[in-house]
Amino acid sequence: MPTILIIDDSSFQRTIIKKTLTNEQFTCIEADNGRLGLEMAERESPDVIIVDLLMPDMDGIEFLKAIQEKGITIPVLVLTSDIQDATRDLCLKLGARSFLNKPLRQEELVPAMRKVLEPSGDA
Amino acid sequence: MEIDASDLDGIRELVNIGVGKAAGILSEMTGSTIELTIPNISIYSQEESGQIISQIGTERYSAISLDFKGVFSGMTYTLFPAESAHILIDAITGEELSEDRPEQPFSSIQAETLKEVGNILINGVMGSITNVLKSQLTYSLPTYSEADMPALIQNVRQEHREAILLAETHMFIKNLDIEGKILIIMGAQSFETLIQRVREISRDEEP
Amino acid sequence: MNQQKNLSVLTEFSDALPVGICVIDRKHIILFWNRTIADWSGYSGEEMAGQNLLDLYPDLNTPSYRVRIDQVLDGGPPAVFSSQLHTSFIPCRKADGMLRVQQTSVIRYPGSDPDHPCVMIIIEDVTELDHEIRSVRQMKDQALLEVQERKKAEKALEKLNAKLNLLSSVTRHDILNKIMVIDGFLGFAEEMATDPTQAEYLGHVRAAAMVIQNILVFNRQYEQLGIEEPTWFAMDTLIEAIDTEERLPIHSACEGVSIYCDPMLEKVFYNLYDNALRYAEGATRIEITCHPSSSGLIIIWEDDGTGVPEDDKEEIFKRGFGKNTGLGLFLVREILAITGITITETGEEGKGARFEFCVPEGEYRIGNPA
Repeated sequence: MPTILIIDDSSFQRTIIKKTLTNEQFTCIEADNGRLGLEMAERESPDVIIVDLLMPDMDGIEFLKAIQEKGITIPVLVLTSDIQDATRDLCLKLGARSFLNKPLRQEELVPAMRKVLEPSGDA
Repeated sequence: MEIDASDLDGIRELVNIGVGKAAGILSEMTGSTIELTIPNISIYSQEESGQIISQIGTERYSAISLDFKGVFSGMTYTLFPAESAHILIDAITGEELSEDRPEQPFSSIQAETLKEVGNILINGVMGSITNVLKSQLTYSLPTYSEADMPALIQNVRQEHREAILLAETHMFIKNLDIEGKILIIMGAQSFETLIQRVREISRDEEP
Repeated sequence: MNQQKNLSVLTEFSDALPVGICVIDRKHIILFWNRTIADWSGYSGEEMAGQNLLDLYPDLNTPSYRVRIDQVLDGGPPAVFSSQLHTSFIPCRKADGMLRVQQTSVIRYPGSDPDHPCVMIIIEDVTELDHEIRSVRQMKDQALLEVQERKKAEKALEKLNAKLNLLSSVTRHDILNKIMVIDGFLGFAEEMATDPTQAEYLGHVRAAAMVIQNILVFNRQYEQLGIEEPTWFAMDTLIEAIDTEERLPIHSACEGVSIYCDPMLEKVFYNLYDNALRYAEGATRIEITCHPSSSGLIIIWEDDGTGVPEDDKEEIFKRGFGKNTGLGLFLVREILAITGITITETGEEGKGARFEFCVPEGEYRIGNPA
């Protein structure tokens, strides 16, 4: 059963993501900021990381930079309310595998997650 | 009704999603990247409405409003202080962005621009609330006015004036700060319904 | 299906409306295209039904349109697209080739099934209004530009004027200094002169030097004319300011009268008084009276001296007239003329001089001065 690390400062949003993923037989662990998320990524080695962008105490962009620096290769999926193309391009440049917009749509998240988890790993 | 931190967290996230969408649209309209910040949310009862006024003052705002009716009913406003309104107009109409601005009232054409931006912000926020909370509402068309906070609150029908939700947002276009306030004013019953919906989703309670 | 029934009801009345109406579903497929929008676009309702709106009009496939339409589909409030920011929602041209300017509202289609939401796009043609707005805006811009240019020109003139004033005051000062030198040496020369012819010539030189000095003094006063804005003056105050030293008393019956004039008005009364002292032989008093008339306020200044001969009545106001400087009454008339006040001599020779001022309506007040 793949483990997903959800990093989002909003417990409301984490609950929505968790509900959607648990229904699809994923195991979820949570962090409410980027710094804590980074620690958990190193310690728990999840299969996929879902990260929000706007967060206090290390935001999503800093998080992407940090895991790149640390050489962590766990695929990251960005889930944000920011729909600007410039933001998407920046995230993909910083190594994000996939970029999804809030509000979360189950029919988008689940296929994106499965694609990231495919052995080839390409989204 | 007692509001706790996780209720505020839920509402903040809904506003956040709405503002993010609005910023995406404005970014295309202005041709500039927009930096977002986490909105600040506060909730006031009718008795506490004096606090809002003492907190945010009695300056005149450019206000874009619309009514909503349904599982919860009330009025929503997007407010821009004059300084932010000028930055927005300049950014959208392609005028040179400058720090000093004349203290002139807005022309009808400028008001038209502000009305559209306010409409975009309200739609983002109300859209995300109704979408995530799966609540059907009907709305009036947006209108534009210039007034201070006491007058804006007075404008709402008495029975729809029992709870005030204030979201303060900041967007940055080319490092210029655009401050927008979103006010959602509702009756007590409507407000309880809204919070109940947020709890159903955030506390693993099935609807 | 309910939706179909709803749409057929919509068709019945919306074809009669002068606005373009289009209904699309969640996937942006056109369900309805009314007659007005069919006329504007050149595509009939039958042709459009079933097509994807965003494929037909790709400009709508950008966030500022698509995201906003989708928000309405997701249950959000109506989206309004101002003609000032988006010229055309569905670009189409009028018969004369002009692009129709459109004001568009996107609202949730009220009859739509919650599981299959639709939106109604309502398009108003505001081309005429838009052209009017544009031409008014253009006129306003043009007017602002002209005001700016005029202000620039005024500034340039002010600068030039200041320069000329400086030049003339410096020149005046230098010449007056030289006249003092002439005056001093003339004094020595006159004391030393023993030959009567020589003394007579020196007398001519002194007279000429005095004329030059008077011209310069006049020049200085004339330069002050019109420099300051005209303002209100109370007659009483002006008359009280004349220092009569009990030589020739003034009786004024002009209480509460104020007139609007150049600040050099003080000089006017001073000059008239000075003239009376010099020329009104045997005069015992000066009378000032005010009489409202159909052409304005008539102010009469008269003495009981010898009066002005008939032939000189107009001449006295010319530059160079008279025994003294010949500048006094010329300047008086010029000062008054700035606010449209006229002055004439209407006395009778032998009975006294009589100066009649005519102050136009609006340039005088009687009663409590504000």
